[in-house]
Amino acid sequence: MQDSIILGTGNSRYLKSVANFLELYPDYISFATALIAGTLPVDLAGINDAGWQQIGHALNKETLLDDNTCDVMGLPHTSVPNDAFMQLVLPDGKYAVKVTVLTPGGRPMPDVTISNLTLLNGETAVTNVNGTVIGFTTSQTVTLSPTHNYYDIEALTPQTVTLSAGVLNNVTFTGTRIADTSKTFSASTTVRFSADVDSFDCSAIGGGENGEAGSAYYSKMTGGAGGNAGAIANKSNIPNTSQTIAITVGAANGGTSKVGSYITASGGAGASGGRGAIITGTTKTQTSKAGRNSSGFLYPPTDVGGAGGGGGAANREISPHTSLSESSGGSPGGGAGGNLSHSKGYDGSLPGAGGGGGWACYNEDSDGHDISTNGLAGAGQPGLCGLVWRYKS
Amino acid sequence: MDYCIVDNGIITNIIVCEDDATAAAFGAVPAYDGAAIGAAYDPPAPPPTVDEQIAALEAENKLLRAQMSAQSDQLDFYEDCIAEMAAVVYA
Repeated sequence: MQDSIILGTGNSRYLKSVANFLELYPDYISFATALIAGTLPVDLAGINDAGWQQIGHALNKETLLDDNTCDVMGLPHTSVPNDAFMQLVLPDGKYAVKVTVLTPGGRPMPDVTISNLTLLNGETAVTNVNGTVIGFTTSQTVTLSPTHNYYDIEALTPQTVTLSAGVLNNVTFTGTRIADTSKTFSASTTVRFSADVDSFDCSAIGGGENGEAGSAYYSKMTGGAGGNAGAIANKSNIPNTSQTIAITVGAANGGTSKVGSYITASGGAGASGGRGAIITGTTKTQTSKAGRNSSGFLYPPTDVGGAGGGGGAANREISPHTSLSESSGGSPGGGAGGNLSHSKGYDGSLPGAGGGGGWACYNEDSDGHDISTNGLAGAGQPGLCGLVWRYKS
Repeated sequence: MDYCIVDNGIITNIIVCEDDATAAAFGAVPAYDGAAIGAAYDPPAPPPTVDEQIAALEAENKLLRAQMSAQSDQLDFYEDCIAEMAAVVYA
């Protein structure tokens, strides 16, 4: 197709008026008055070739949608170009659907995948920033199943719809909120809030350390130290931007927990583990100590583990027999130290708790052989993350 | 299940994930006994597959057959030597 290009010499077109023009408008005032009133009779009397650098194609039935094209497309000769566009996009047996997905608060839900619909280019139908997508199907009756990843919205119920041909069908999905407004996470995941969520708070505790094993030799018995609890971090009133938030849960024995880039809680950097008991020969060199307590996981308020307690120690081979008791773990959930009846330090029992230290004992069996008991370390516990969120009014 | 976050071959964090797909989204790889933050990521080699075991046994079988054939040839040679020496001694 070719555009027209005017030379700009002021002679590209002719005008023609009625034969009695001079009688109707004998002076300039009457002429101008009719022009201003929109009653001046004029025809555009064709173009003057001398005023054009290039004559373009005319926009008429021949160039826009001629009878031959109508026949090919199965359209009546009275069709307009828009009819042809619709025939191309929606041939017989193809249906168009505009899907809108909204939050319970009526806000758009972008990035929702709609099953059984495709875009014009064949790609998967996914809602845009306005929560809408126009997709196509060859089934007049179709079940549309939206899939989303908004944490605060329940799974959307599929809709089975019967579509009309040749028009844009409209289908709207409106989500419902989940019952909770807080959640703790014991494994790493990602969370995204819908636009209905105003702001959120978050907490995290890193992984608790394992305790240390006991160590017993002829001259020295050292109970294992308790493992430190994970550090705790909190942050409140974070505005929701509907971006995906990475929830990272630190593993036991030192893993770091994070909530996005908002807070970081290092593993084993919280409440201190208790020291183990030490006996040198038959001398009580050092008593064990309890693990320190942990608190302050705020969002949502959750009991998380204290530090591990120190392991006990004993010399039951050299007379006089000597022993020092183990110590308890920090409250709540810190593993206690190992002892005569349970040489392994106790495992922590709450997220982020430290494990207890192992028991250490030097003894001899009934045949007089020396026996060293090096109690194993109690295991620390993995960390935890938490979220509390609020909705817009 | 525990997974390692590895940066330039060094374990920078060990995290908990429910499955491999989630771990992959975090760029994490499977942990193993002895994995520790700050240490090099050095997982033990996976056990050989059945096909690999079969291939190894076939190769070993081929080597043993070749060794047995060589020993048989050597034995024939010794018998010939003894027979020749006997012929000289009792001639």
